[in-house]
Amino acid sequence: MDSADNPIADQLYVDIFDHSPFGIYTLDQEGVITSFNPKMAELSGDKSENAIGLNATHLDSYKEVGLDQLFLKAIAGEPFETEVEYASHLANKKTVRRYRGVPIEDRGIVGQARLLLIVEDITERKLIEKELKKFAQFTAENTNPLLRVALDGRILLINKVAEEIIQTLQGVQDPTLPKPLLEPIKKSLTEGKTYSVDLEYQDKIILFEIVPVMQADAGYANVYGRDVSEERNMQKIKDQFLSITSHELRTPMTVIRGYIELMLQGRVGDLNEKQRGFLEKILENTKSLIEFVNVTLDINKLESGAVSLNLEQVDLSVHISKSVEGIRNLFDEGKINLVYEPVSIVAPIEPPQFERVITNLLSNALKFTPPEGTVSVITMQHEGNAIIGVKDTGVGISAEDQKILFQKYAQIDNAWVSKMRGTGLGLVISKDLIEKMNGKMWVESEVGQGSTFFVSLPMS
Amino acid sequence: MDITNQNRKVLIIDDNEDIRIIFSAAFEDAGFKVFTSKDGLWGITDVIEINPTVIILDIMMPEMSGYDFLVSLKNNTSIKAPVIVVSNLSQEKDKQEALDNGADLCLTKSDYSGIELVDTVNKFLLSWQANPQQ
Repeated sequence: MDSADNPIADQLYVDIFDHSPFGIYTLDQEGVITSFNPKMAELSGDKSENAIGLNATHLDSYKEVGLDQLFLKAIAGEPFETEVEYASHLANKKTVRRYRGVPIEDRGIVGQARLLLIVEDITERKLIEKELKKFAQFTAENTNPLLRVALDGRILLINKVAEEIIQTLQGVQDPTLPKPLLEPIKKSLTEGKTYSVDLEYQDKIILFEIVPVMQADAGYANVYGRDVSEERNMQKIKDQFLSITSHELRTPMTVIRGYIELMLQGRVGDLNEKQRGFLEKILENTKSLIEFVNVTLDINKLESGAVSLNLEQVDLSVHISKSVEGIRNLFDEGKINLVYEPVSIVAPIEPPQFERVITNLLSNALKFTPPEGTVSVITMQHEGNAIIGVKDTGVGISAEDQKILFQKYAQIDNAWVSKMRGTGLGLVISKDLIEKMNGKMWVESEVGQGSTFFVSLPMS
Repeated sequence: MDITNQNRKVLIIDDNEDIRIIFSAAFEDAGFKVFTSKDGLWGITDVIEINPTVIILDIMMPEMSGYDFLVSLKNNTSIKAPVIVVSNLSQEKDKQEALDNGADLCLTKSDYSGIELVDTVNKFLLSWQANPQQ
């Protein structure tokens, strides 16, 4: 349909021309501007009435950026599309415009127009693109492997380093994720929990941390890799050092202990009271040294993450009873009452380690409770947790000491170690073990009023 | 089956003379007939001659380690006596290696006095005789 016959279409074109978000103008055979819409006036800063009649190809600014040649070619029938960056005379900033030149055949419809120019200000878009590129580069240039994985295991995003690692591990182009990485990713996405896994890659150990991002419709996991070869190697050296040191410490201590025991048995003649007393002191201190070596190794084991517990849903009262009965004779010797009334309470624990914790709490209570005192074990359920309390009528613990009670010896000074001697560094280990069973451990105490050590374990 | 300690023979294999003295005293007190070897290599010859009721074995020894002794005992002799490893190597992986090589029980040496060790060995023998592993 020819627009010349249709006034409604004419009006429509005028409206589009006047309200277009794009700058629009037309040139005639010679390059003279024949129309110039309001958006173009806004973009260029020229008024329409001033612009019409000017020869666009003669304007200096167009010459500078080479548009004059494009205009002339387009008038001759060659369309173009180009981006031009130039200093705006309106503000002291660079602007970027996209020009599209559309040659118009002589249909006598827009006056003498031979070229339609559509102009768009893309300064903002260019800026955003630039920023986005910077961000993308930041990830791409990261020397640590980074990737994002969809619920179905597809790789959504991957940087260069990660791509190299996975290609090498899988030995093919465009590989899928290796199983040791894919399995924990799937687990992480199903459970909504963060996981980490070590993978060996070219004599290096890369730790991958998997962070699930859950969304209403879909989720994905961000996977951050990091070279931990040095850390792992240091841990290995530390383990070996501790292992050798402890072996070399234990052997002479075993011998010292053994000979003292032989002497105490009277094998090398009768002992007087003083001699016996001294030997007993030596024995006691040798035993503390051995205990210290054991505890140091235990703490190292827990720290290195070498301990992983297999939790079983069991009746805690069975295992509390075992610990209580195992230590009862020591309470009887010390004339201290030990009270426990077993009530069935089920929670996931690792029984031997749980018993170890309860025994540790009981032996601490025993040490700090005077004769005729009472140590009681209480259990209750509270908000889905099984709570176990070991309560003594002992000397109590000051607020200041409570703060350092559960701290690792490595973080504090020697004064702490001497303070802790006797209570056993075992508390640090106990707390670690309970936390590995997803529980918590804390103390409530007042000087002179006794202490209660609490263990709280989720019941499911 | 009831065997009194008078008929029991223990072979202690440890390169540390002091340890041999201390453990020997405790086992003798409990009525065991005690034999000692100062290395795994000696132990292999001694064990055939003595045919002990139970073997107490150290791991870190100069000529033949406890691990190698265990392998040799299994491959080169018909001795079926249980082996209790008593070593100051206390890490799980060390104990596991001993068990994998055929040890029946693993104890950390420094955790036991002579008397406690004999006690533990007696208890072990009771259950072992009731239900021998081999």
